[in-house]
Amino acid sequence: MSMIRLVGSKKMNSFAVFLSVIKKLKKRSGVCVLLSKPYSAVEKKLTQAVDPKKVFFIDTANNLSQGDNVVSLPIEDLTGLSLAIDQAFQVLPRENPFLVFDAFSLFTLHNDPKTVAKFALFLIKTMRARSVETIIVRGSEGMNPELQSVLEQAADKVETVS
Amino acid sequence: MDMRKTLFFVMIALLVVSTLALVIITQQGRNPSLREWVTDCSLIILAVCAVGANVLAWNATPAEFWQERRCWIFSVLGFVCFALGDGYWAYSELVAKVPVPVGSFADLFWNLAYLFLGLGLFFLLRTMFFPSKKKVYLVLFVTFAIAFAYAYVHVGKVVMVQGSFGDVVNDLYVLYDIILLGMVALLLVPLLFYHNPLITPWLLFGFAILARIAFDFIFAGLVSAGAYQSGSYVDLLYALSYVLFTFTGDAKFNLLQRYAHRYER
Repeated sequence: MSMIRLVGSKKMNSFAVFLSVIKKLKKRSGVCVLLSKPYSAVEKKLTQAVDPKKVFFIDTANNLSQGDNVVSLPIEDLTGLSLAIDQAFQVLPRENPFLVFDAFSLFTLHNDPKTVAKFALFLIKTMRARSVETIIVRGSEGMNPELQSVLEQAADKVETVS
Repeated sequence: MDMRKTLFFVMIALLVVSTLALVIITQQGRNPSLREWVTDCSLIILAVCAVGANVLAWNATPAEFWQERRCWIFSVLGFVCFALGDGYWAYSELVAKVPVPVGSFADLFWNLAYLFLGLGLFFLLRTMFFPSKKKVYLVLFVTFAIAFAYAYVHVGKVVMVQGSFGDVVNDLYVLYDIILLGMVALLLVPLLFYHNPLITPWLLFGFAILARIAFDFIFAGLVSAGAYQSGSYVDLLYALSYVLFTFTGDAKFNLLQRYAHRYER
């Protein structure tokens, strides 16, 4: 299943939405890209939400994270991020994998929104080819209209969590 | 956890390069025959180590990551060609005892090796996202412009004025290197300042190509000055390039094996 889902909420903050999304993926393997909170700050919540033996974390909120299932990359290095995501999927089991971003709009704080939109389309195309379910959680502070429009058009499903 | 298979090639490569460094450093100006033997044989063994480690990395890369697998297989073909070229050079120098003519089979294999290495790098770059395609095209345009300017000024001058085929062949390597340098800059610049295990193999791959490029520039200068002989200090750069390519294969294999155990893949 390679569905692309764009998820947001009017009431919850993006990290709460992210946690509710990954809790439903508990038995599956995948990659979580953390943008809003460093891995070290939310490690306990994450390990309660998913099986840490099945999930790889890429931390863009703290450049010092390094561990068995976590690596860090700066949020502005989209080239490195694309390569790291690709490499991370090579080490995971390939049964029904997923990719989740916790607050996609935060990319636009450090990158041009057009570039972020291109990055999203690049990832969506790659993930579809690899049959990876991709879940993009919008940031709670809203999203650049151009980026939102691109994501809504590229997504198979736009959801609002209450 | 089992010992990883690539470690065998890494250990041989380290042993061989250490011996080579010892001989080159201690025997300068003393025993040219020993330097020739050790250098020529070491380089063949190092090329075979690079082939072995990269074959294992290619084999371990999942089939659906076909672009990256193409990168590995073209790199392997490149090292096979380097090994054949180095082998022909060693045979001519050590067994047949004839000077290796420029434009020989060795140069044919080395030329093919650069083509394969360039193709490998091309397929790797295709798996990466670049924020600005304009910048990528600009880097490639400038690279090719410098390469063609070099060809026009240097190779053209050699053909028209001196007519030496040998110099043209030697200058071709510098030409390939300029093109590879532009491509490797696209790979290294975004990754250079951030280190994590997922991108380590590609940093090593980039540095291995840089070592080869540095060697070729120095080698071309030494040859045109008539100052090169097997066992020179510059051969250590050539050897270092093979060692880094072996490390590349090992880093990739290690990454996949280490996490395969963790994730029970």
